[in-house]
Order: sequence, then structure tokens, then C-alpha cells
Amino acid sequence: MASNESSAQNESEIELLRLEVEHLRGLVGPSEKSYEQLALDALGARDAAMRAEFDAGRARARVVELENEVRRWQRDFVWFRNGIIRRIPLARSVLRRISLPKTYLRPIVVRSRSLLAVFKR
Amino acid sequence: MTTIDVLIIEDALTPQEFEQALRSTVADVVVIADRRSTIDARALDLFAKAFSDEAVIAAYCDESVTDSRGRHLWSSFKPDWSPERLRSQWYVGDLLALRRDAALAMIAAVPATRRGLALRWELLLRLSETGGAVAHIPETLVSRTESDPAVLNRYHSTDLLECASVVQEHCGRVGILAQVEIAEPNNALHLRRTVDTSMLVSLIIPTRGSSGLVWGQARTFVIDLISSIIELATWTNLEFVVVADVDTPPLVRRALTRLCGDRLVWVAYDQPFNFSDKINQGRAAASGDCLLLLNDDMQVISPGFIEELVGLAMEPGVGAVGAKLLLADGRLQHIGHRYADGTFHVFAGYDGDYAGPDGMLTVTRECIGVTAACIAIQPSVYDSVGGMSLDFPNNFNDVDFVLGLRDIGLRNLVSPHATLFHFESVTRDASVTNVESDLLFSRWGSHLATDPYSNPNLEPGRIEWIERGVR
Repeated sequence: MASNESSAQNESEIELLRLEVEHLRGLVGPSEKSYEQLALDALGARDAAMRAEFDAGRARARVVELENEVRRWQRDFVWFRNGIIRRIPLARSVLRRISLPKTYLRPIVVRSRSLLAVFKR
Repeated sequence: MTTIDVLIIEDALTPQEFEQALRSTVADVVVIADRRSTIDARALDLFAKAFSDEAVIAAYCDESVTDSRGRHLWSSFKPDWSPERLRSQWYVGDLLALRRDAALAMIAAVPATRRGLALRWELLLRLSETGGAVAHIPETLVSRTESDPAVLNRYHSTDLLECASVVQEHCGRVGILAQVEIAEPNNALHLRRTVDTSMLVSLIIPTRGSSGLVWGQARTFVIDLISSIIELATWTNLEFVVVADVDTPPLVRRALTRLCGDRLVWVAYDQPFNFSDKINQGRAAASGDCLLLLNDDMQVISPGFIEELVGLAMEPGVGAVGAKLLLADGRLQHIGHRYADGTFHVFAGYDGDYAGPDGMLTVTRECIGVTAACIAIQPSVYDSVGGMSLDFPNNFNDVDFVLGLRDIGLRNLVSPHATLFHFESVTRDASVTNVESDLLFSRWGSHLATDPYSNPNLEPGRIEWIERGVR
């Protein structure tokens, strides 16, 4: 009888200790289960960081492409400005100095305009 | 004086009809053109000039693409003769000039089923097998409309299958052990080399056991690299030659010993930092049949990268073989060098999936140089140029090395089918000293100005292919 009583007492003590361990684990750190969960969370966070990094990479790549396009257009614009636009006043002054009747000048002017149109295209 | 005839060929033309056409002319050179193409008035003169060199048996030129109203849209600027690229892609375009006698000598061997693109591909491959020179004329001598299916390599799948068999037979004739596959979605071919996987490959990895943050996680680079190789790489007969500075944490060595076991060869490096010297010491300690130089700040993406690189490196005539390297954010870090008013990683910073002009970044191709961050090379080839020069402790050691390989007549290749992450410069100081750049230019000045795999019509000093402005 006495042994039955002591074993019941032991079991209740064990139960109490188990509860205490659970309580302490909750207080001082993760259990094995929550550690696994934490590891999974860490992997998920890494994958999310990778995805975010790749998204940023795609955006950066687009910026690089666009920057290169802009540089090319700038280069072409400089060529157009220096090679064509800045020479127009000179061409005009040359045309003005030629003392030809307007009827003779017209075809020349028309031709130079169509040339500009080609460059604009 | 070279005489030239132009043959306009239809897609349905058979080899027998082509032979009749060749026999119907007495010209020295025939130019094969497509009905849809417009040929520039200078073309025949320039081809005649190219063929005045008796060694030249074929020639091709750059192309211009126009819209349906004939307005220029873009140009397709081609590299000089690139046999490896031709095995993967019909990059030479629509206007192809052949020496008539040479073409007649081998047309009888062409299978009767060949038509259109497959016929042209077969003709050029067979001509190249004779050892004659193939010339590239860097002028846009032909224009095609945007709607032409050959523009952007929009070939029909049955045509590509036929072309794959053309390249497969060519591989058999020249002794390349490879399985030719169609690499979707870019309509290019991929030669999957058959390599002896029992061969020992020595991975030479210089390190100082440094750590850093990548994708929000702390990494010890060399440990994570070797872990990724052991986990992912399908090649297992490996020797890990780790050349470690003396200040490498002991923990790193213990971790690597646990990972690699007796496959680890530890080389302690106690000199001031010199990348070239570290690689050379790694080479001296390596016993593999093929060397694979790897920076420690990398991670494997394609499991078959060693097969791909080693398969190419073990072929005769090949120098250094490089891989496609991506930054941590997935952008291109390296897919071959370009040397034009400077040394550049082509299309660095572009999207990792960027195909490049004419899909050049999707195919294995010749390039002037590759980065030392990832190079596969035969040990004998490495030794033949005396290894890496100690004059370049930090930068340009790879440029000097690959130019040395080209100088002894070897081709350097880069493959997009071997892909790794490279967390570039996370672990090293990337600043360039004037001493190194001056030395490089004094040693290789002329080579740095003429990159045969770029094009003189492209803007120099750029990472990308941009047409030169009006000069």
C-alpha cells in the first residue's frame, strides 16, 4: 500500500517537474521543436532575401541597359548638334551671300530641308 | 585577279543542284546569297580583296537589319572566325563567299537531304575542316528585313534538328566526342562533351578563410563554396587544393578537412598577398589531369559545370575555358572579356538571362579572355606559358595569362552552360594600381587594341556592343 502511495507521489512529482521544464524552456530558450521551426524560418528568410535581391538585380540590370542607351543617344545627339545643327547658320550665310534670284534659291533650300528630314528620321 | 560570281540560292536547293550551279560558273569565288537579302555595291570588291589571299577558302561579312520600308534598324556585327561558336550557332549570316574549287571538292560528300541553312552550315563546316582560313570582312555588306526568320535566329524546329545532325556529323569527323542538343529557348545548339569522369580534376582555390554577408546570411566563403560543390556538382573525382594564407582561421581548416577528407590538399601561403603566386603554388601541389581555378567567393548553380568546362578544356588547341558568373543579385558578372581601349567583362551588370546581340551570350564561343575567378585548363597548357605572372599580384593577372595563351596559338572559350555565383570583390580589394595597368599595356598593347571576337565597328571602351558613332 505504502509502495503504491510512493509511486503515485513520484509520478505526480515527475509530472510537476516535466511541467516545470516546459515552463523553463519557454522562458529561457527554444525547445527542439521550436529550434527546428526557427531553422525553417531562417531558410525561408534567406530565400526571401534571395528573391528580393534578384528582383533588385533585375531592376539594376534595366537601369544599366537604360544608362547605356542614354549614353548612346547623348553621343548621337552631340554628333548631330556639332555636325549638322551648328553648320546650319554657316550654310545659311553662304546661301545669303549668293546673289541669286529667289526662284533659283528655292530648289536648294528645299533640298537641304529634305536632307534634314532624313537626318531627323 | 580573283573573279567572283553571285549565286542566289533558294531554301529548297539540293546539294546536286548546288553542284550544278558551281559547275556552271568559271569564277574563282562564288557568293551565296538569299533572295530576301540586299547586297551592298562594295561587296564583291571586298570579297575579291579577301580572297586574294590564297589561304582563304571562305568569307563572311557583317549585316544590317532593316524594316519593311528599308530603314536601318540595327546591325549585326560579327566576330572573326569562331569555330566553336559556329558549332553552336549559325552566326555568319546570309552572305557567304566560298572558293569554288574547294567547295566543288567536297560538295559530293554532302548528304542529299541537306537544304537551306543546313546545307550552308555543312558547307562551311566541311570547308573549315580542310584547314583553310575563313575571313571576316567587318563591313555591313548585306541587309535583311526584320521579318526574315533568319534574323534573331528564328529557325523552324525541323531545320534546327537537321542542323544539329550536321554539327553532330562534323564532330564525328573532327574527333569531338559530344552529343549535340538543341538549347531552348534560344534556337542554338549545345555540344554536351563526353568526358571521362574518372579523370581527376584539381580545384585550385586561393583563400584566406574570410567571411561575409550574402543574401542576409553570414558565409565563410571557402567552406560554403566547397560545400556547394560537394552537394551539387555531378563530377565526384575531385581534389581540393586550398591555398590558404597563414592567417586563415584554424576553424576553416578543420571544417574543410571534415568536408573533403583525404581529397583536401592544404597549401599554407606565408608570403605577402600575390594572387598569381598563390595560384602557381596551388598548381605545383595539384596532381589532377585538369585544373580548375576557382575564387573562394563563389557558389555552384549548374551541377554539370565541371563536365562542361573540363570537356572544352581537354580539347586540343584550347587554352583557358571560362564560365558564366552571376553576381548575388542575379546580374551578369562575367561571360567573357572584351579588350578595346581597356579590358572589360562584356555586358557586366546586365540581367543574368540577357541573350546579347545575336544571342551571343547563350552559346559557347571563343573570346579573347576569361576571368581567373573560374578557369579550366590542362596542366600542360598552364605550364606552357609559365603559369601566372608574379608581376600582377592583384589585377590583370588573368588578362596577362590568357593573352599569353593566345600568343602561343590557343583559343580561349567561355561557356554559358557552366554557371556559378561570384560574389565579386566581397573578399578582396578591387582597386587597380597604375603600375599594373601600365605594365599590362606595355606588355600587350597591340593585343589589347585588336579583339578579334569584338568588331571594329563597335564603340571601344564599352562593356556592350554599341555601333560606333559617325567618325
